[in-house]
Amino acid sequence: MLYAFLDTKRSHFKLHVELSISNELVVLYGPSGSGKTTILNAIAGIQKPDNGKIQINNRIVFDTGKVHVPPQSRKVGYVFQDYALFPHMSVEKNVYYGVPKKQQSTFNQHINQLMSSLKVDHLRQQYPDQISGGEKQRIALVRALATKPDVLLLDEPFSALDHASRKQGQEEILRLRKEWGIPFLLVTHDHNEAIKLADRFIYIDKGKVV
Amino acid sequence: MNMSPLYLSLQISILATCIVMITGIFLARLLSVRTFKGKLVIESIIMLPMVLPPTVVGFGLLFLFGKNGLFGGLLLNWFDFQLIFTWYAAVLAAVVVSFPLMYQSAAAAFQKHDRNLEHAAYTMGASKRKVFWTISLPLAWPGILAGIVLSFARALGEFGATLMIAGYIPGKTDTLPLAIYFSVEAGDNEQAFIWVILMLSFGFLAIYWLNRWNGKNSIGFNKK
Repeated sequence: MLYAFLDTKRSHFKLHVELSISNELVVLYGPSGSGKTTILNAIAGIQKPDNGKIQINNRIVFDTGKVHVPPQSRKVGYVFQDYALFPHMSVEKNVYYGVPKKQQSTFNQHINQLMSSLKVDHLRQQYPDQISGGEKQRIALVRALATKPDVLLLDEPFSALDHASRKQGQEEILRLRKEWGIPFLLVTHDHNEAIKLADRFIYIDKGKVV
Repeated sequence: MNMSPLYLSLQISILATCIVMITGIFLARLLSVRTFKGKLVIESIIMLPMVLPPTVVGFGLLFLFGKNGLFGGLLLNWFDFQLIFTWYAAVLAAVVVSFPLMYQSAAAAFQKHDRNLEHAAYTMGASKRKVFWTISLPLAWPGILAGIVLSFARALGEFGATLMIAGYIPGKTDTLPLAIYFSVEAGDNEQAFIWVILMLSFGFLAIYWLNRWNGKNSIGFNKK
């Protein structure tokens, strides 16, 4: 379960939203610059809202002036728009980055399974600049899920992909959503994508739910 | 032939570069991730030695570290140590003039990479320390290395401020640039010529290597 109430000033508008998401795939849909990424960043703990309350399962991770759990301890998986794969590390090192060294053996089976189900097993020794856009997107997904997060955030995960990879990516998200049973919050400005993926979709414009 | 200016210069420049490297990386990182009132003033002060004549820097250091200076007085009273006219003074001059180069290179390097790389690392549970050592520093390394080479070259070539606070004491504070000046003044052009060729070769090699390395590095991380 994910609950977020955010009230924060942006340069062009005021962001004022309240979201409550159970174990479903919710699409945040709206034009560029409407505050969608800000919402994801606030949930992940990267940006601090002026006012608000964020709760993940039974943990309050942000409450104005009282609680601010740093992003390290929020257990939020985040797939960034440009994937943010570490360019100086192999795919394998990227994927294992968040796994504590002592616990690697306990995570091995989980990560191997993820990598083979997303068909990136053969890329372990490659570097991000040696692989295609679709592969990068799938590795970013594996990496975000590797640490077994309580919530998965996806910021325009398909915007840089061609039609075929985009379609494949969307199928995979739908499959993972069923398998994982955690809140998925996906940002897009593509109407068709929003309709195809969403259990429920929220239209955001100029910082407000419309 | 008396080789002491070469050894002394290397000793001073290496020590100065080590100091500048550690403090420069630390300060550049600190200022690149924080915004606060007066940040611009601090950055301007850091960069000041780059635009000032070395004599002004030398005068300032004399004022602060001379016998009656703010820090000079403290050093004398507490440790019975006089900095002026020792090789440590030459290190201090080299640190002050080369620091802006290190700071500028490191700050640009830290600001260059995508912030989301660090954010991604945080969301995966990495501590600030881990993110610095595994993400920020390796990605900034090409810029930092350029800063180290430039700082070393600048430290090696320091003349004006060094002359003012370390003086020219043969065998004690006669660095290469000073040795060249005083050799010419004494009419010993032959000796000066050897040092000039040495400095020229080093300067050229440093810049050439830097350009080559920068070119190679822009290709990609995996093709080391």
